[in-house]
Amino acid sequence: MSTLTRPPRVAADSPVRRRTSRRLSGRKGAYKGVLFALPFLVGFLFTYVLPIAYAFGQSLHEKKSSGLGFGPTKVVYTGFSNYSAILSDGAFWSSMLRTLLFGLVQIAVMLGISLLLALLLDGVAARAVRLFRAGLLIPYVVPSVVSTLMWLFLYSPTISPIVDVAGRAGVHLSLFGGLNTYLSLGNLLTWQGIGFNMILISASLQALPRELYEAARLDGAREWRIAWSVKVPNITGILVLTGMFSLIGRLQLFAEPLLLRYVAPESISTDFTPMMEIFDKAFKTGNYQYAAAESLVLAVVTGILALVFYRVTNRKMS
Amino acid sequence: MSTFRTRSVTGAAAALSLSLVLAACSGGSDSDSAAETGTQGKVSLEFWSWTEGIEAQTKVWNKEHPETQIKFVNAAGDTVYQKLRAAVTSGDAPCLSKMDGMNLANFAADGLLTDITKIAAKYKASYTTPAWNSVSPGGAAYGIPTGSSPLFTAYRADLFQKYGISAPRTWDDLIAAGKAVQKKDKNVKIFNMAGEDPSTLVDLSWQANAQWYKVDGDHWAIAFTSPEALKAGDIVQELVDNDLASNASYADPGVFKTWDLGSTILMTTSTWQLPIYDTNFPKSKGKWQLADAPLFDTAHPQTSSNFDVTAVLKGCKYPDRAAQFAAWLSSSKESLTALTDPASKSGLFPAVDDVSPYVDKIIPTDMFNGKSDSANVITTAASRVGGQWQYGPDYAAMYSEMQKQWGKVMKKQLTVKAMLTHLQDWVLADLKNKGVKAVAGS
Repeated sequence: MSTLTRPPRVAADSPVRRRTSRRLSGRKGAYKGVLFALPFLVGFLFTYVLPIAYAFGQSLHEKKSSGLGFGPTKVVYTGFSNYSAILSDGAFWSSMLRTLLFGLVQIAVMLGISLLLALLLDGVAARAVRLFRAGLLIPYVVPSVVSTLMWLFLYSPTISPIVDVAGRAGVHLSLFGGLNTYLSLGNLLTWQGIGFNMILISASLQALPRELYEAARLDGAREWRIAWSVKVPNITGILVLTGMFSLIGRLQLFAEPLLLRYVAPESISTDFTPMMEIFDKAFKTGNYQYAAAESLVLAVVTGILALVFYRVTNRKMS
Repeated sequence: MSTFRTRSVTGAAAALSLSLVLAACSGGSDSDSAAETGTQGKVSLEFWSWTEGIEAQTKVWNKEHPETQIKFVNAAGDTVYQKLRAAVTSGDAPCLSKMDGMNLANFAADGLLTDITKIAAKYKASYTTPAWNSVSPGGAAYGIPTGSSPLFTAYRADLFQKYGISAPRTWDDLIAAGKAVQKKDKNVKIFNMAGEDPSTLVDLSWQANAQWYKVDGDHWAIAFTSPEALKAGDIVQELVDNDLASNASYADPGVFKTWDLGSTILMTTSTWQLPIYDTNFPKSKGKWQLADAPLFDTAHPQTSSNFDVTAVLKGCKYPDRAAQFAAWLSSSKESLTALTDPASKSGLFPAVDDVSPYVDKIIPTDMFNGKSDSANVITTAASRVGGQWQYGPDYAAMYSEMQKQWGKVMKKQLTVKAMLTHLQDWVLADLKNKGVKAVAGS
C-alpha cells in the first residue's frame, strides 16, 4: 500500500514545485519591470500621490485665530469638519450640478456634431479629408485662453460687433443672462472641442474594415443607412471614450468661464463651476484647507461619475 | 485643471528648496538681528511693488541712505498676493510689499505680517486717520500708508446740460437726476455698477457712516444691517429697481466706451484713475467736469477712499529700517513731489494731511472743460474721507461672499437688504468658526 501511495505523492508535489519556480522567475521579471517603470513611478509619486496626500492632510485642518483675529494663527486638526461643512455647502453643490447638467447637454451636442462631421469626412475623397481635418482641428490647436479671449471680444456687451449689428437693426441683444449664458459658453466649448473629437472618431472610422461597407452595399444599403447601421454601432467604443473625457473636462471647467466673467460678472459668479469656487477659496480668501477638501470631493465625484458613465455605456454596448 | 493644483504644489516645493539654499547662504552674515531698540550697521531690504515710478524713488533713497539699501522687485501681475503668501510660508518673503487695505487685513489675520505698532508710532502723525486705520486693523499697525484715493464725481457736463440736470449734491439728487434723464432718453444711465464689483456698496456704506466691522473692546461688533448700512443699501436698490445704472464690467476691454459714447453720463472716480482718462476718452475729451462725491448728509459731508499701503511682512529682520523707508517714501516732501509728478506715472495720491502742494499736477489737461475747480474738488474729497471704516479679520472672505450675491442683486434676483442680512449672519458664523470674538452690533 505504501509503495503504491508514494508515486502519486511525488506527482502531486511536482506541479507545486513548478509553480514556485514560475513565481520566482516572475519575481525576477517584476524587478526588471519595476526598473523600467521607475521613471514613471517616481514622477507619479511626486506629482500625484504626494500632492494628493498633502492636500488630504491639509483638508483635515482649519486655521484658527483668537481675540480680534489678527496676529499669529494656529492651524489645528479638526478631523472631517471641512468635509461636513462641504456637505451642507449649497453653493458648492449647485455649482457641481450646474456644471454637470450644462456639460451633459453641451457634450451631447458637441459629440453629435463631431460624429456627423466625421461621417461626412469618411464619405469624401482622401485628399479632401486631410484638408477638412486640418481646418477643423485649428480651434483645438489654438490655446483655450486665446480662443476664449477671441470669443470674449465677440460677446462683450460694449465692443461686440454682433451686439453692435443687432443694435443697429433695433434689437437689444444680450449674450449673457439666463439661458444665454449657457448658450454662449456652450458655443465656445463646442467650437473648441468639435475638431479634436472629430479626429478621434474619424480615426476609428478609418480603422473599420471596408468589407463591411461592401457587404452592406450588396445587401442594398444606401450611404446614410451604412453610416447609421454599420459605422456608428462599430465605433461606440470611441464615442464612450470621448464622452467620458469630455465629462471629466466639463466637471473641471475653469479657464473659460473665469475669462468670460470679465464681460459678464453678474451672470457668471465666482462659484459658477466647482473649480472656480475652489480657486476663489484658496487664492482670494486664503482658505487653503477648505479648498483642499473641496478639490478632493470634486475629484471623488468626478471619479464616481466617470466610472458610472463607463459602466452604463459599456453594458449598453454588450 | 488637475495640473493646476499639482503645479502650485511643486511651485511651493521649488520655492521651499530655494529658500533653504538662500537661508544657508545668508545664515552667517546677519548676526545682529531684530533689535527692538534700533538696528545698527548696514542692512539690505527687499521691497515688492508694482507702482510705476517707485523704483526710481528707491534709487534716490539708496543714494542718500547707504546704511539701508532697498532691493526693489517689480512684482506686477495678477498672482502677486499668492506669491507673497507662498514666500512668507517658505520663509523667503520680502521685508516690505505694496498692498491694499483689504489685503493687509487679510494677511494680518493670517499671521503673515509683522506687528510694528511701537516702531510705527512716530510716523502715525504724518498720515490721515483713515489712512492709518487701513494699516492698523484691530488696532495694531502692520505697515505704513502709501497713498489714498478719495472718491469724487466726474460727469459729462455737455450731456448734463442737454438733459437739463446739474451735478447731484446728494445721492437722492443723483437718483432724481437719473429719473429725469430716463424720461428724455431711456437708454441713458446716470451711473454704472459693475456686476463683479460690490465696492460701490462699500463706498456708499462708508459715506453713510456705516461700520460693517467695529472693534468694541476685546471683540468685534458686526453691523451690516444698521440703519446707516441699510440707508446705503437703499440707494443701490433704487438704482437697480429704476434701471438707473448701466452694468459695464470694469474688466470688460470696452468699459470706457460706456462713458465716452455718452450712454452713461456720470461716475464716481478717484485720483489713481485720473492719469488714464486722457487716452481712454478720445471722443469726450474736454467735455468732463469734476464735482464733490454725492453725500448722504450735507451737514456732515463724508466720502470714502481706498488706500495703498506698504506692509511689513513676517520674518522681516529690520522692521525699524523698513518702516523708516516706507515712511520716507510716502510722507517726505522730496519723495511725494517726485511721485505725484505725472512724469513718474505712479498715479499715487498722498495719504498725508496736507495734500495741497501735490494736487495741481495730477489733473489731466485734456479731459476737463475748465469750468470747475478740479484741484479744489480733489482736496475737498481728501479732507472728507470718513475715519470710521475698519477692515475686519475676514474682510476678504466676506468680500468674496458679497461678490457672489452682488451679481444676483444686479440681476434683480436678490434685494440689497437680503444680501446684507445674509452677510451679517455669514460674517458672525465665519468669525465664530475662526475663533474670533464677535457679536452683532447696531
